[in-house]
Amino acid sequence: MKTKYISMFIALFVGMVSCDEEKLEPVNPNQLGIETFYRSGPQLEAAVNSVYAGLQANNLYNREYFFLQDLLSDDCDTGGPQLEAPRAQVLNHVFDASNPLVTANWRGWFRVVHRANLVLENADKAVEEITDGLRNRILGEAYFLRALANFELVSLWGPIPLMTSSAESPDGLPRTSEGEVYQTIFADLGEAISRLPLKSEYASEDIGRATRGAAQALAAKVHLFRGNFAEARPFLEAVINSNEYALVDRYLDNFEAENENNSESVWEVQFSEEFGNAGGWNADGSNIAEVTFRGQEYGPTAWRNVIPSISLVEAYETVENGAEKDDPRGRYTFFRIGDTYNNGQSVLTADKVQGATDRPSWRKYQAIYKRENEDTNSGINFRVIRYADVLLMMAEVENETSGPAAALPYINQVRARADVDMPPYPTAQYPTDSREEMRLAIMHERRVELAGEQIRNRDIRRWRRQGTLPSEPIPAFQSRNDVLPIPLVEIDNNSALSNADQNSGY
Amino acid sequence: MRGTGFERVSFRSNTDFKINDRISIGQTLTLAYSDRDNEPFSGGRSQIEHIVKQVPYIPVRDASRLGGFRSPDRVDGSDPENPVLNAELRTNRQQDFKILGTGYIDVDIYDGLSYKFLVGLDIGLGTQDQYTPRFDAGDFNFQPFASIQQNRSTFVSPLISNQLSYSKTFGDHSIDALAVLEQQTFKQTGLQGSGQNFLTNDVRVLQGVQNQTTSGNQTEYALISYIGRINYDYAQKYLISASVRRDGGSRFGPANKWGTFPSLSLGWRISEEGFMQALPAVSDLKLRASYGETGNDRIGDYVYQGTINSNFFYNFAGSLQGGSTISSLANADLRWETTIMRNIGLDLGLFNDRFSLSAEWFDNTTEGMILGVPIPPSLGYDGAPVANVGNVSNRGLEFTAGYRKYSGAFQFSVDGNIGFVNNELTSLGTGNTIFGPGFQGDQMTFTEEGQPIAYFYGWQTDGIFQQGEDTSMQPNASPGDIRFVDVNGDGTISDADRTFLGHYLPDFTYGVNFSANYKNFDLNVFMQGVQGNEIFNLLRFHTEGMTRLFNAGTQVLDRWTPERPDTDIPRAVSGDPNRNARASSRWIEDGSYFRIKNLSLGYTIPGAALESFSRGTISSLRLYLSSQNLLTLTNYSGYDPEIAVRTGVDSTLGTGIDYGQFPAARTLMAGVQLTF
Repeated sequence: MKTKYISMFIALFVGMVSCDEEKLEPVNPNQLGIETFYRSGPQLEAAVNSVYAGLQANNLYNREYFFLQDLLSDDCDTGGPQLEAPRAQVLNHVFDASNPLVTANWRGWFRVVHRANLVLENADKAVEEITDGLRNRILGEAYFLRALANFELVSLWGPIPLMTSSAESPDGLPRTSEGEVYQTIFADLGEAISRLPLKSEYASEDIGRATRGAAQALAAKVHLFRGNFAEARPFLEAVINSNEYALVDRYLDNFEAENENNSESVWEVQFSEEFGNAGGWNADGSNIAEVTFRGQEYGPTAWRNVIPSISLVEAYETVENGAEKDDPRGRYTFFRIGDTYNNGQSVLTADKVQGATDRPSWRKYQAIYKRENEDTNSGINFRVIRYADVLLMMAEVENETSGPAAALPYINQVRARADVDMPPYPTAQYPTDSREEMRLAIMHERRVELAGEQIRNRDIRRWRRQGTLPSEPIPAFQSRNDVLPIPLVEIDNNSALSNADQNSGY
Repeated sequence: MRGTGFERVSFRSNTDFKINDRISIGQTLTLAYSDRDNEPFSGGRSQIEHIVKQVPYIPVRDASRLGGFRSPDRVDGSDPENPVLNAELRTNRQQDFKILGTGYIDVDIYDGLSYKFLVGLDIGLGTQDQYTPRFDAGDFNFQPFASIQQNRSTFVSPLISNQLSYSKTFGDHSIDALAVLEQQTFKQTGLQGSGQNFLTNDVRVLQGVQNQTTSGNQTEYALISYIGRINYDYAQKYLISASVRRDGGSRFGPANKWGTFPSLSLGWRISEEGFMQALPAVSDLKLRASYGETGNDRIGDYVYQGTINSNFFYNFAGSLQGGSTISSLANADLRWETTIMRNIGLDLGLFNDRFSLSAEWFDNTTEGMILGVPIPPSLGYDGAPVANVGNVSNRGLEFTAGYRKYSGAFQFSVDGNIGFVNNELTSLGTGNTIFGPGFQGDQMTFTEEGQPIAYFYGWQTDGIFQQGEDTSMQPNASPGDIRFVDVNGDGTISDADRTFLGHYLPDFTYGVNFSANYKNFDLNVFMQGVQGNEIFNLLRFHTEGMTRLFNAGTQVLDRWTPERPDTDIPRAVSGDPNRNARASSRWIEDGSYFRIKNLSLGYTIPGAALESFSRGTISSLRLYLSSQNLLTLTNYSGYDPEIAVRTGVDSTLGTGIDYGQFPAARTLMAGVQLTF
């Protein structure tokens, strides 16, 4: 009896506790698993969309990209003590490897590389709802974006860890020589050019994606950065002869929200105020992050953290400094006290502006042309490459490879824009008889045409390396600043790097 | 603190019912409700940060501005938010309702063998309502819409436990054995909605709002345990206990779900031995030793699985398209963290236990410590993998002593303890050293082999450059800037000069508890303290850093100027070219303190007086005064040396950093305690 009793209970005990060990293998209900993704055309397209989203991140075009580029160049001065210390340190060229702007840009561009790598290494897995054409286009976009990111990195930091596939361990890679990084960039751009459609071949719902023209223009830019003018020529010719691009008549159509992706636009980072600013502060561009803080950060009636430098303001041709007429691009680029804004309904008065009111403020890329106040909700696209830049690059290539006469038609085309209409070169101030004179004209034209567009920083760097700058434009520049420091957080956490791998002088 | 509050109600009921000699059943039920107003945390800054940064010359309130508050304008060049506005306009109310119930049946099978079956159910319902009305307090502190966010969450956690136990005494031998099989699962679901109302402040629910968003989430967790334990003693003299448990957890990689954790403890009550009877003063003497392993799975769910993050968007031609990527590096090899605990102790009681003394040596080693591993940004991931990074040892000694007197009119007891711990990271499995939380691009802690975990890291300061002094080691420095120590002696100050600046773990901790009764008075005092730890006082970056146009502490009035060279506060300079505000020993302070944690003093009305006064309706009446944190002795300059880890900061790597966490309150309370 007793034995039976006991054994019955033991049986019950064992029976009741047959635990359900399958519960230990949970499936995450919130997110897709890696194994089941990248299987269809729409999934692969979502993968490449996330690369673009990385461009909008707070680390890049939302905020830190334009700050870093502009503060490293001679386009800007401080707007006053409201400029945060790490930004002032970049402006004054006293930054070190801990600098948050330097770190943010490094992080932002490597994020783009990583996401592009995921597209490239998984593209073959997509078998559903996909055509070869779509797969090719998506691959082309990923190659273009990876090349863009690697160019940003190698041009500012020198040798970088070259990530050609997504990382599977937390260890990190050592730095790869500049030559090898550039080789990868050109190989990627070659792939992009062969796969991407022309701008006009895109359906209207895909406006804003990378195009063949963008890849060709970027290839030319990279060659120019390295001083390889002859190599840049075929890419520029291809863009110009494609008949896909033309200058717009109104200069400011390049910097307002209404005329985005216009005929002059070769490549833009898209923003919009239609969707709110919920993700604006997200470093990685997650959530709805479709706005840029550019308006609020530089705006004359807002933070006015930076203002145009004196040398930039003085670079514009005026009757006073000996030109035939005032260059209207000065007015288009700067706001001065007394100017109207908010569609002509408001007047900029000194009490609305903090800091030195005798100095102009930025107008290019400001949103108050159509509203009373700046806020974190600006939807103006960044025109990363526009056709005027392409024409000026072509002028530079012609000058360096054929001579000044061949450059004239290109540079004068930019000056002849309907609402700029500056007298063609040569002028009294800018003769163009020799290659050296034409160089100065091109440098001048690039500076005034492309001011505040995050182009000047790299222009100065390449001309400095090529020894063609007439004088050093940045008084605080020290030789170590030719490249930026590898961020401390990279050296500290990358098992393949130590302090000995830091760029010299940092 | 204004804008925060907490209220709690709970109800408990337990019943036991004996059906017959062998079977009893029972249940427990707890209902709890809590209602909390959370501290607003807006603009990425804590309320304390807003308080210290607020410009001092503008009024808090301004009836002419929408919402009735005033914050800095453009001309102030500074954007702290008004902390009183945050406290009064931003509501963040969290209500939680909890039901915890268990039911069991206990069967006495035969002669010490019994079986218990227990089911439990833990249910939680949470609502969080956040609301901020439209306001316009200043150029940088406005909101043109009423923002409404409502979160709803539920969790359900059933527990099934089977326990078979056996207990028996044979003469001097007594034995006690237990086998348990247990399964606990946990499922949490959440739904969040938010929206903006541009028309009115009166509607506080998600009706008629713009920019409406909803999102949801769900997580599941399971833990299955098999436990066996046996206790044996011989004549209360020799004690032995052994157990083993095998746990399966859903949070670990496929090959590492299961962990086995044995333990063994031995005790010898020397005072029970015959030869000790010659020493009647020794009422208790026990030598004990134990070895035990425990497992830790306190990590997030699903962290070992690689997943696709689809929370990315890009607007092509003005319409939003979704983006998906892998934004976290997963670690499929994640396994249990095991802590191996060894200790040897001696307990001594004298004079009928009026004196008690105990000493213990312990050595706790955590193997495969689970930690979010910082990764190089060049990998392009934003989520760091969670990994078993290495072994940490905590070795130390602990002493407690007590004395009690429970006779006579004056009765009292006093107990004191003191503990010494030595923490060391003994090995790093991943091979990489680990940096802690970042601050202005620097990383504040460092973890490497042979040192205590997460020690404070940065540059060592060496006074201030005076006029005419050589600054060639720091090319960006000028007179009035901080001189840093060239630790590696290479003639220049660089990242390689960062060094050990201190550590959050104290050399020793101590506590004293004293309670006494004299006639109708009673007194209880609890004092505690720590000695020899450091605190990274980051709040001083805000009060003394002078990196932006915020309000600062009065310390900056003593800043360096050519006329005032004798100071340790550097010069005020726009842009901080020398990075005087970097992570350095400038912010490290001694965190030692001594504190009267609790004190209460009571008086009980004598029974006779009470009897005549209340005619027997009140059986006891006590008046008391009590206080928490009445007195603190410390050299620490922050608000409170007893700092909690800031939300969002890894507690392993970021302990001891004072970001301006809310200080513990000093409370004074007078009360009446009635019994009917």
